[in-house]
Amino acid sequence: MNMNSSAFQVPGFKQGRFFVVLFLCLTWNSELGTRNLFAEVQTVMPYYKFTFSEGLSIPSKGDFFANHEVGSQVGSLWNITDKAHLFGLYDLTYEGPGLMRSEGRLFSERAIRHSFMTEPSYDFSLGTLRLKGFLIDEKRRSGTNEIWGQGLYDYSAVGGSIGFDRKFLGFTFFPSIRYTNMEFPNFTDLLREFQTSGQSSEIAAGGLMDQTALAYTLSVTKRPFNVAVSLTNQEYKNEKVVTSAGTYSDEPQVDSIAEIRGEWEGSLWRFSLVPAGAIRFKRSNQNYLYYESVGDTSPDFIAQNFNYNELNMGAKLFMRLTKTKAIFGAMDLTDRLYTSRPPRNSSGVYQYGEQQNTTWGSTGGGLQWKVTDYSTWNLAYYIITSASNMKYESFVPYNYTGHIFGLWFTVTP
Amino acid sequence: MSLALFLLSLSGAPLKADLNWTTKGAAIGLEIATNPGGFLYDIHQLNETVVPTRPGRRATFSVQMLPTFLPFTMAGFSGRFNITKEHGGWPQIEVFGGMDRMLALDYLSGRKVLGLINGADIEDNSVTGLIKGRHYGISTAWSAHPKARVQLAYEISALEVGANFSEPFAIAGSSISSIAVNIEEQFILVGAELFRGDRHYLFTQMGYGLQSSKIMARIVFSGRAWDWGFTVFPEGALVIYPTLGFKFGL
Repeated sequence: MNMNSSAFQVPGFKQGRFFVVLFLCLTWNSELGTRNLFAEVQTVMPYYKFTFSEGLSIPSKGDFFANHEVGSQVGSLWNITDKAHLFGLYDLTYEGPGLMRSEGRLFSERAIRHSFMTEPSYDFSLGTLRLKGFLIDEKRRSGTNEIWGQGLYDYSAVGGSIGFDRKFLGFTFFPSIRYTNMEFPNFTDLLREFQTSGQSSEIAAGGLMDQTALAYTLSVTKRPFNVAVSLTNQEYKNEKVVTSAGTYSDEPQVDSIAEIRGEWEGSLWRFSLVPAGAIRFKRSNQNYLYYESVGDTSPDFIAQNFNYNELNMGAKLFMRLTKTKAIFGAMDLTDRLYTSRPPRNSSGVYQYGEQQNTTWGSTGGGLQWKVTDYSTWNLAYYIITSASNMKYESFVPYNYTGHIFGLWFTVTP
Repeated sequence: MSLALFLLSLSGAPLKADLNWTTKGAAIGLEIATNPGGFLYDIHQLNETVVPTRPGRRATFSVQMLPTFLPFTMAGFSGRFNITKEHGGWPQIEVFGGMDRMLALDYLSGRKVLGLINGADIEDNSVTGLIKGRHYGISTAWSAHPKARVQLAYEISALEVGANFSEPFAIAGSSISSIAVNIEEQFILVGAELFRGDRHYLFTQMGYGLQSSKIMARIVFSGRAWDWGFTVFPEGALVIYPTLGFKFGL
């Protein structure tokens, strides 16, 4: 039995953002374009968006499986006056099994997420003030044999943001601040369960990952460029920093993520190219204790286990064949280097002196066509690859390749 | 280093990936064996009426052909009735409902009863019982654009399964001697109908079950008389089903 103290790998909600299959992102931005449902200015305008993907995944490890993602958004924009607007939205997203996970996730993992969002905005002469309030409820499970609602990383979040959209010298500046309160009712860790066994420990230890997150973002846009810089601070309410002595200190866990991302969108004749990239730095004061067995008296202690630097690069190239058909190619690559975490060999032994490093990505392409004015379909093939010096793969695959054939489509992007 | 490994793997050398149909078949079989009610409920839901009644029509009646009647002999009939047409900011509001029943089970049960009456030995390996379902609900359709309508609907869908096998049949190493399940679930349905041409529409819909968090997605190419497309139950044993149904409107 492995006794992992502190968090199980990386906090779940951050991965939730990457959890969306990346190639989906590559294809959702439709080059052929679809007309928005807000075609006519009315006082109240309904909004709808449907995204769907269905594919066959054939990994080099494990059985082949069907991968699928489905999402629906339904909402309404209410133009209260010429300057005051209110946008409300409900989003239901299902993320099914898939190959293209963030590092350290199971192929079979799946999630259902409900989100409610309301965004009042007001146009001033200087720019637009945007407020936002949101509620999110996400349930996860690692396979169909688990019950929804008992996932380790299930969470609910409530939060709000304020931002100001201002055009200046041809640039659009959008600074914003977002506050989120997140609760993970089922999250616990084995060390705590082990140490407090007999006291209905699993229930008592739930909520270990409860946290507040404060994010500062500045987005600058001047077509065809968009650059955004953000800093997110997460303060854990219950989780404490684990020490090398195998005990928890009084110091609460604090994480921060700094990110710079950019995108460029250019067109020439029948071609368009959209390269994008991001750099992320995560820093956490949390450490990690690895117990090889229950009676392990000298567990491995990894200081600042969760710190990493990450680089993401991608590009998609479209070639328009006709008014309704295009072919495309896409590539996406992410490299993550844990600054303090050594990799483990196939027996699970830490290889001190090295840094855990994983590179994963996809390469592929296909055909995109419009079925109606508002619906874009993609038939595509992708090669998925993940390579890592982390060789301990009893639970989670780190080194694999895979093929995906699939159909992706979206209604009213 | 892992970047080098990544590039190496892209070069084609380790791009091994197998299609092992035997283990996959066994896994699906086991999933059906351990949750036969869930599988039958999926089949039942494929019989449900999905697409809103076309503007200008008062009602729609439909019969699903694939993959319900064929190959599962799950015969169903459903209808939709407009209460109000879309007017002055009000959406089209309609009620809908339908019933379905597995005919093979009725036939086999009948044969067994007949065998008992006549003293004939025809009940061996036979099955008795019934599988029947019903669904009903209320559906609204709002014009988001002259060529697009958004659907919001609420539905209750129920299935009763009571089947006894005189000789248990084996599936993926498990054996089933009887199935007795009653499932009733409420669904919220969100969809959109996009105009493609004269009496031709593309309809997409996503459903969420309030009791078990069941997810389903439907894509329907709706024509004058035939609706075809596919339905996906992401958490189901057989995930994706091609569908074909017949309809007529008044």
